[in-house]
Amino acid sequence: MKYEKVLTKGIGEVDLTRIENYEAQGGYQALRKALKGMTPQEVHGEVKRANLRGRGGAGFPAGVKWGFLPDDGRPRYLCCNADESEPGTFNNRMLIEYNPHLLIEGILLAAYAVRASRSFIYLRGEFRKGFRVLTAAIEQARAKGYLGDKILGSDFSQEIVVHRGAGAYICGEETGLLSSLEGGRGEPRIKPPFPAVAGLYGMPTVVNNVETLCNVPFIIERGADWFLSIGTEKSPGTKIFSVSGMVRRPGNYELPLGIPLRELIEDVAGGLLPGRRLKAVQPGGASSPVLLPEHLDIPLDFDSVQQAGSILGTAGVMVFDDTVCMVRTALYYADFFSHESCGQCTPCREGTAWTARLLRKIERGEGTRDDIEVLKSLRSAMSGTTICLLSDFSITYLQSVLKHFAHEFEAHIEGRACLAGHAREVRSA
Amino acid sequence: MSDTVTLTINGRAVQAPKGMGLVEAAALAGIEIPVFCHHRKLKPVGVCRMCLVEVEGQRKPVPACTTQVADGMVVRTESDLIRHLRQGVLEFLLLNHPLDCPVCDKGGECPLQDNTFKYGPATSRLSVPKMKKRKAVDLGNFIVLDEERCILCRRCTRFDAEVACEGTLVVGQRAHEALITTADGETYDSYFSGNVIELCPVGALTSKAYRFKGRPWDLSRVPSVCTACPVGCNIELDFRFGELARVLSRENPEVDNGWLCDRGRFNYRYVHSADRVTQPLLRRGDTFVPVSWTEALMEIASRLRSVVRDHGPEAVGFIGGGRLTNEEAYTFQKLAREAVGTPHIDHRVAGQKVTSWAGYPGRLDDIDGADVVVLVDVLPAEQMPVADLRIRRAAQRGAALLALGPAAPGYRVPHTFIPVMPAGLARFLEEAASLVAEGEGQGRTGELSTTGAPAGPGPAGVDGQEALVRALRSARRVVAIWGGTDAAVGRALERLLNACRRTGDDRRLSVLIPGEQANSRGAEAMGVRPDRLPGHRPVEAGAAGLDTAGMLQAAAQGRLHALYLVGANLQETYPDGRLVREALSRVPFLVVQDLFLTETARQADVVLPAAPFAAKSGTYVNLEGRVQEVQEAQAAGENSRTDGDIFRALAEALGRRLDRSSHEIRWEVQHLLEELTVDGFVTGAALPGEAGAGAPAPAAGTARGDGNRADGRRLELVAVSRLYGGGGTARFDPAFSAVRPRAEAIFHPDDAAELGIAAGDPVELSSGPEAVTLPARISPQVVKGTVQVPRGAEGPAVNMLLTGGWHAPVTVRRRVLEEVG
Ligand SMILES: Cc1cc2nc3c(=O)[nH]c(=O)nc-3n(C[C@H](O)[C@H](O)[C@H](O)COP(=O)(O)O)c2cc1C
Ligand code: SF4
Ligand code: SF4
Ligand code: SF4
Ligand code: FES
Repeated sequence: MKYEKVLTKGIGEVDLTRIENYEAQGGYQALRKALKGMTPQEVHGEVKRANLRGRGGAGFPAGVKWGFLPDDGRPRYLCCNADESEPGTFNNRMLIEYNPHLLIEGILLAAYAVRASRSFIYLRGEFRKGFRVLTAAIEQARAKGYLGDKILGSDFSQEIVVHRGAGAYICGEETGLLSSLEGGRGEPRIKPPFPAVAGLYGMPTVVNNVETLCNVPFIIERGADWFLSIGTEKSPGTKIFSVSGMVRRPGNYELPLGIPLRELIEDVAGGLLPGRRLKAVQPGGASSPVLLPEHLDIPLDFDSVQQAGSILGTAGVMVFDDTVCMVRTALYYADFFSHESCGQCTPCREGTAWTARLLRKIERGEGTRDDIEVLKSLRSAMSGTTICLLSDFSITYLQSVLKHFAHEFEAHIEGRACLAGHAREVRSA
Repeated sequence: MSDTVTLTINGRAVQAPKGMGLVEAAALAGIEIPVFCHHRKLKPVGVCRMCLVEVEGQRKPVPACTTQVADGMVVRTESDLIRHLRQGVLEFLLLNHPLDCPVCDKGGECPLQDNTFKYGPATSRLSVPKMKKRKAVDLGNFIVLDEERCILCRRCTRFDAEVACEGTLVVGQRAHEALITTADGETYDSYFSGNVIELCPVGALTSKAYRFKGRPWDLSRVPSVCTACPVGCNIELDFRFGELARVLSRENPEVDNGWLCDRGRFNYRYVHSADRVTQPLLRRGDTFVPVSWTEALMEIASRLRSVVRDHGPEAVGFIGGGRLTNEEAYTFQKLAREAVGTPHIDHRVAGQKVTSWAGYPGRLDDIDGADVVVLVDVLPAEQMPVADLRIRRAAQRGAALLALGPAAPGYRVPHTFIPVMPAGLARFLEEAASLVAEGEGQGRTGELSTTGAPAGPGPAGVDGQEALVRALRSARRVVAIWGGTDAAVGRALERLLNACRRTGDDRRLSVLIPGEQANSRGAEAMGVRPDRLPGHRPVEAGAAGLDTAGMLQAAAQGRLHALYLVGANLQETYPDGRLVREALSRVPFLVVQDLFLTETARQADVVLPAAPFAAKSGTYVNLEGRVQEVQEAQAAGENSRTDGDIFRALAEALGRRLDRSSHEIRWEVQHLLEELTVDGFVTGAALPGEAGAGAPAPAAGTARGDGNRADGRRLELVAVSRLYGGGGTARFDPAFSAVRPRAEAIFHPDDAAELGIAAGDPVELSSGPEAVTLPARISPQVVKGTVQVPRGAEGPAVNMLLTGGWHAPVTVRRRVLEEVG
């Protein structure tokens, strides 16, 4: 089936980093429309009605979040979360590198709606190209009067500051982002207070994902009803799925929310490699619990995926076939989280490291049943006990494979060969 | 709206004040919530997760330390879930913990041990080797970090950031590699570093001096008061089998807030120094011979008697007293005035003129509420360290902090430094007073002079004065802290404060003066002054004795025939080394009562070994006028005696009993202090020149020939206080000798460039015939036109270049190689 591209329209066909090309396909019309004829409240209202759910992982409605800002005269800030570091997730990066003006327009509209005094893009440090593209695009936009003082002759002024991260996954967590943006260690803060009440420099702050913000211009230009007509009732709009793993055509695909998993894997991404069997799918990044072949027909929207026992998360879809060792995948993620924990909270700092060490031991064939019991027991000690969700995230995928692929762990423990036929990890602990 | 809320904890109704944290509220009800990272003096961060509790209506357990009470809140601290999570946190913390409790300093007083005992799992499930980290990381002067023991509670880094306001100690790395370290390129040499040892809930931060020296259960603990500076922090002395093993804080919120500085905490080993004088010494030609107390006292008595017989009692002078207890100081002046009959007695040994000031009495907690803090020729971190923490906190919460003087305070909190040379300070303040009084200074700032600004267009002058005036105009609560070295500055400061008082009605204005010794204020109140009797009573007109400068001059001129020094190493502490040298070499009979054979004591005819502070009972008066009592913590030892006992014995040898009963002096002092007490604090004295100040002491100070050398440049020498400078207590203490400042001459980069001086070059500073050569250092912190030297440093004595004050013009030359040799 063919779907209309919205956010990704023109990508791969025209050079959208040139502002003229972006304008030629209707770019900055939404901004013009809003500044000429809509109050901030109206822009906010439209986004709220569109039920635009956050694309950064949690799926929280952006319009509702914007409404949490207290109206108390303090300066407000807008932060675009462009720290995209979730394993298997690379859709923000594409938008930034190939459609930067869409993001700028989205930020300007959101800033207008929430009456932000300044906007920030917290950009993953490794996105060097993205940084070049974004800063150039900002200058183009400024030259055209879309940015700066009295934008398009209106009373609305706005600056966008691009801040580059320094290589920490945890700076994608919204409060870790704020700490880092302020110049401190990238360490999440205790909520409440939520950023909406006390965010950047203690001021009311909105944090939204790149893709979330990129949807705003279309909602303003075409209206909430149009947006609600795409996707499912509770998850309207499109979503860029980042598909990776053992498929023939990995890549970013923009599709309506609610598309069946089977269609994504078998049609859009070209299906599995010849002769391979599907073992498991992670639908939403490193922490999403596995879906199994029996789940192939579930629709990929926030609620359905959750009902199936996983999360849509960032829609970083990773496909594992029968050549993949599930113990190894768990070890891979455990290493990732034990490296990326900011280290504040005892359960996260110690628990992620312990998990990784136990998994390494098991992967090498040196593990015991007790080690598996320990791993299982860590769930309660590491979930809901820490400042941010990284600790919880670090253990959810593991729990799902311990449950569904217990036999693979058993095989490793008894010192038998890996069921997927791999030589054992020889990296040192 | 009521100020208390009612909540339910474990089924019990608990009333707690609004805003209180759950940990404290539970404690009110006798319910313990175990914590690690939480500390009531630090902002809660909620990182260790030990204090998780269940709150009804919350999806997840919440940290009690970061949660405030609310009306109707229902809290459970002992549910199965919570007990399970606590076990989990403890299991995590112990996972890679080295468990070297048998050799850990903290063992026996360790929250990790205690919480594990109460709440922890009994066994470890770790099946991989423990992770290794570094066991002994040298963090700075006094502290060694054991990274393996650290549980990353961040109390230490938070203390350094929130209380010391320095931000040197930081968390480095992340995840399981996270560790406590110092900011790039820094060592943890904060004056307050020792506090983190006490804050640390495990044995990760250890004191170099105490490390592996004792077990808590072997210590006997005696409450005491620190005598290293006039703040008078409350301390606990921990003795191990009779030896002073460590000093801890004994929290007194009104004085020290539970903190100590590193001088107070770590400078105690001199008490057991092998270099202590342990027997009375009598000079025989060029050497000393140990003698019995009887022999020493008889010798002194007979020499004093003959001086009095031949030259009258006024040929004897007594100097010192700021280190004595009030009772001893009182006895000391009785010895001088009654047993010998001389009016020449003075506690001031380091050039300070004013020790206290009744006009604008200040309290330490005034700083907490101040909206302007003005420092006048004083460096609080060096002279009243723990009080400086209050100043830093005030500045951090937004109070205006302005520093005036020839040397910049090294704050990392927002502040304004206004460089003003000592000679111009009084005028600067007087002009500011006029501007404040006029109430409209902004319009005419152009007319302000740049009084006192160092040569050249420094950052001082008009802008600084404007900043000061502007701050004072809008201030409700002003605290001035003043070094007390120049009475004219005091009078100008008084004018300024009077002007502030006139412009506002309900203003609170106060002044704090750090005395040059711990009990300077007590000594003053006890009458250890040539112009005042006990209780600040002025002596009769014309009957005032000589002050320290006067006695030294009289001795140098042969008019004084005996000098008796108590805890006064004048050769080092007095800002005119030449005068001291002449006085001490000329005076026919010199008695020195001290702990060590200092350079001053070495010139004595009789040296009397005094016992250290720990052997004393009595009272002290701190810089705000607070009376604090100490009890004898340790016997004086076989041959040393407390200063008070020595005075009494000497008086007896002179044929005079100073007290009829053993308690008489205590009662008299108690009575005196009560008389002086207003609102719970001992009042200060009148400012010199004020009514009731008594006869002015004879003018001091010797004008000295200029001796300007054609080939040098004139700079103002500014000798600054250093916390670790001076005295036998630092020099004869193994922990301290290493951190004593080294003598050096510090230049502003511009002056250094003009003089062609590079760091490390030998430079000669000279005044008249005196010259000292010091290595140069260059720092932008130094005011242009001045050359800064630390007081009481290891190395050549710079007070040879001074003439009674802590600054003087000197000629500076770079020493060239031919000259050196
Ligand atoms: C450990 C962790 C990492 C995260 N990383 C990202 C990220 O890289 N990008 C992102 O947009 N959101 C990330 N999030 C989610 C953000 O905290 C936040 O919910 C999001 O930026 C909100 O934007 P949205 O409402 O537009 O989705 C992360 C969350 C956690 C707990
Ligand atoms: S859960 Fe982990 S990553 Fe999140 S704040 Fe705590 S230690 Fe840091
Ligand atoms: S050194 Fe001590 S106080 Fe500092 S973080 Fe570690 S355990 Fe806490
Ligand atoms: S501030 Fe003064 S009284 Fe307090 S510990 Fe330091 S030296 Fe002792
Ligand atoms: S004591 Fe509350 S989290 Fe550490």
